[in-house]
Amino acid sequence: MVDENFDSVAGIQVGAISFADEGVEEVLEIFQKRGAVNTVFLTTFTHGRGLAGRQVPGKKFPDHGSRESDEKTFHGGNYAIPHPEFYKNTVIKVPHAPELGKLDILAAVLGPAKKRNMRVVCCIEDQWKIEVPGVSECLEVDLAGRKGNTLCLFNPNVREFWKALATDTVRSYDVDGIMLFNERNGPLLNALGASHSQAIEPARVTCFCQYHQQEAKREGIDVARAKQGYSMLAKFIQASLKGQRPSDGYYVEFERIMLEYPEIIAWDRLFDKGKHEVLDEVYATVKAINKNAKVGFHIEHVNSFNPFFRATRNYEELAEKADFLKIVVYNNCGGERYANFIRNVGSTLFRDVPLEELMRMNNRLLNYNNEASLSELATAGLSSDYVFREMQRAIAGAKGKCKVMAGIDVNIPTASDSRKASPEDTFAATSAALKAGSDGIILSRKYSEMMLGNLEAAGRAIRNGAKTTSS
Amino acid sequence: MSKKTTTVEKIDLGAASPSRRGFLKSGTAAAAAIASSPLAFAAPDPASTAADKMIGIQIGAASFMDEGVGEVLDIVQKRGAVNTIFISTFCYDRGLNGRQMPGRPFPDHGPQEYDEKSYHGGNYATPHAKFYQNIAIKGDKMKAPDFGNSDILAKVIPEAKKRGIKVFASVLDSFDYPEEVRNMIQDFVEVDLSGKKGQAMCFYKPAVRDFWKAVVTDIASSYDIDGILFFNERNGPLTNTIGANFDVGFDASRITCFCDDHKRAAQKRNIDFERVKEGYRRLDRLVQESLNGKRPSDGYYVEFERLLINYPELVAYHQLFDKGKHEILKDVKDAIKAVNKNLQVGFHIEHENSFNPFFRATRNYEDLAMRADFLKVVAYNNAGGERYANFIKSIGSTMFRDVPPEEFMRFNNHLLNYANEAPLDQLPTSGLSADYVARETKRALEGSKGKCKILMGIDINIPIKKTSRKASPDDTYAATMAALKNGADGLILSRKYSEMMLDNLAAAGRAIREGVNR
Repeated sequence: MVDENFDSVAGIQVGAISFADEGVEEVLEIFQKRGAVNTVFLTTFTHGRGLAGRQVPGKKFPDHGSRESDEKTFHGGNYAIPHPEFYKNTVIKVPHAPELGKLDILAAVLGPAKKRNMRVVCCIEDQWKIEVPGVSECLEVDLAGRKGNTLCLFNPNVREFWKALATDTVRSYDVDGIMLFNERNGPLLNALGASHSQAIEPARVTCFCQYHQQEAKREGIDVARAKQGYSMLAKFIQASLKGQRPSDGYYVEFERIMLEYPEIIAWDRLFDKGKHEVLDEVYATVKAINKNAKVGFHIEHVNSFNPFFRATRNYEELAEKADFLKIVVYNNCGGERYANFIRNVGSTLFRDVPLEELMRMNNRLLNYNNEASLSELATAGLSSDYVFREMQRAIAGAKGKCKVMAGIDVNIPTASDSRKASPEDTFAATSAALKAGSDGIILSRKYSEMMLGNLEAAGRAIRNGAKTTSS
Repeated sequence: MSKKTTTVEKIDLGAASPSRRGFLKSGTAAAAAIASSPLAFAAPDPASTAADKMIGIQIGAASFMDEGVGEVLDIVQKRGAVNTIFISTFCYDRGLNGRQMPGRPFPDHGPQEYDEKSYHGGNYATPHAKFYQNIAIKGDKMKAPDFGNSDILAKVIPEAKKRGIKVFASVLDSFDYPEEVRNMIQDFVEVDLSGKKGQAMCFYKPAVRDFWKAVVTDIASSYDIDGILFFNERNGPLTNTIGANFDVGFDASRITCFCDDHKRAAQKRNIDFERVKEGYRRLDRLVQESLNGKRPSDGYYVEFERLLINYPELVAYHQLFDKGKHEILKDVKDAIKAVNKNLQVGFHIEHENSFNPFFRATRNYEDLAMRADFLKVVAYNNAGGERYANFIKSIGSTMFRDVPPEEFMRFNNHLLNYANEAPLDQLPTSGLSADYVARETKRALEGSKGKCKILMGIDINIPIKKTSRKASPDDTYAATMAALKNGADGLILSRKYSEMMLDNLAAAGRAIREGVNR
């Protein structure tokens, strides 16, 4: 599956608005000259602000682009032109993203990028707005039977949509590939809040819709027991958040529920199965149209912090599904994110453990070395050594079965009192990824957040890395 | 076997003087002491015997045979404030039976000679053939030969009753058996992952289920006892494989059971037997690689967790073991109650339950409490030091190999609610504290929710390594008092009288008298 022609990717994620605001040629020129970029990862489908739109509202603007927030105009959708014939088999009909008028971002960028010998890979992300036609029919259902705001991965309309979108994008445009983003977690991690950015709402875990239940039955999972297990887990989490300590301790009580209801893990695995089936289908769809087009998957940040999540993500297996994996190693915002993760799990199943000690233990399990203490983590960020170790781990895990690219944090927004990466920080992180042997770099999350000094520092590291490699 | 009596110098009841070191070095010296001060104890204060607290002691037949029934009963009653004896009746394990463990220093009573050549184990009462006539395992052939035809229950019960002491029979399911017993039970033993026969009996063999029912029915029907305490310290395949114990090591032969009956039990519960075997083979390989320091790229813990997630059959099969174990407890209780519903039935809850959070999660006190009249909860604090250290080192060499053992222990302490225990390198020489006993007592009482009595197993000179801590009488006093102060419904002084120093026994007795009068 490894394609030698996809070597030395120096990529950058960028949303349509940056081209609209700053001009296609101008932006590409900056990428090439300052960031040493040779591949544009252009967000063509999302309803989320992580990959599209200007700076996140409330965060400081970078030193380029419009300085006006787009919070009133941002909508999301398909930033290229969706072609209805591809969506006949799904009720989901995503319109062209309205905020940029009739601009077809792929049509606008592809030509100039090719002229500059830059590849264009489309980023498509599983993020939705409820008002999108057809979406309300595909929403997940939570434990209490309420509709959620995410789409069930076992709903046939959803499965058809992703295939249709991949088909439309690859057939309609001369792109070099697709990168699929899906940062959604399964019900177990959601119930526990075992992530870095979410609230802990165990009663809202999903999905228990008819399609999910049908799939569970096919897999031999007892639906009623799964619901009962998640209800028990929700009770435990809610009591833990209030400090109601079980006589055997928080962790033991949690483990006991897990032992008593193996359906809890089975249901979480079912979610992952759905997620990975979508990856497989997107991959197969793209390859059926153009076997040279590359397909990659974004591997989310929680994969760094959470040992249990790590256990559910086998790099070798993922590598067999993709041409490349983008491994999130966002070190600067990683500080506050990791601290949030520790505080989240430290407020429930590990509530008996002082947070600082919990983090030290977790650092050992994760092979983190000499990172800041919990109280200083947000202001210190994670180190470039973290980037190095995580990339080494990914490369060793993937066993050469696909390209492994490092997702580098370039000014990803953090809380006002959290660390803001200096250009030296960005240089160090980028260099660490290359030193660890990364097959490529993807500067993240999006250009409209990035300071040019940091972009340039990444570019310097990329050029240095290339020199080191060629020598 | 010569019957020797022994006693001690006159002491002040309840005065567990830590300075007392004058224990008797030999049977001869003991005899001299008897002559000068024969049982010169003050009479027990009636007010000091709490009717509602069961104060027990575990004793093997050897002690009565060596030191005399009346003498031993007097000592345990007067010095240990004991009102109940737990006589090891059916047992092949030296933890409950025989003299001091070979190689360990003798206590200050009983003969100063090891019994390793004469020790055998078995049924120390008289097994009655009629109870075994319709079952495959012939318990009537399991009479312990150590003391000829002596019947320990027949000998002790009348003397105990005279003194107002209750008698319980202890029955233990062993890890292994002497050769001729193995020959008798070879069709009923476990089978390991490689297909080899093991040592212990499989819970899913109908004959094994019948056997335990027969043993307890025989004892309950044939003797005027007050109840039975059933012991089974065997662990399931998952904890055995990863070495999540304090003393078993890493031996693939302990990954059991894969016999046809166990397989059928798995299939009945829709557990895929072939996946179970495949999972355990992989787990065993990962353990072996971890022991050799071959670190997986994602780290040791993640690789173990991944295997457990990918093979849910590993945990399911482990739970199947526990289910079998608990079904035998139910069988035992039902059989005893069928003979006499007033007989009390208790289960020994092993030490592992203290150290291992995963094991704890598999033992719900409330659930166990509904199966028994009482639980004996092991809270051996002195031996606990080296045992807990062994547990940490053992699991720290596999699944948690990425974590320095000292840090791992601190983390585990938090999960277990241990406070201020010694660091790992000092743990064997410090032992666990009385506070550990207090916390474990509270936990058991809260967990069982009043659904049965909680008797705390108190460590009285349980043998440990030469370099490990030897509990002083003050230590024993503190541990005993900690259990009582925290509301234990009773105590069982453990493991066996033939290991105990009399000063430590007296210290426990002092704590009991003070504790029950609080």
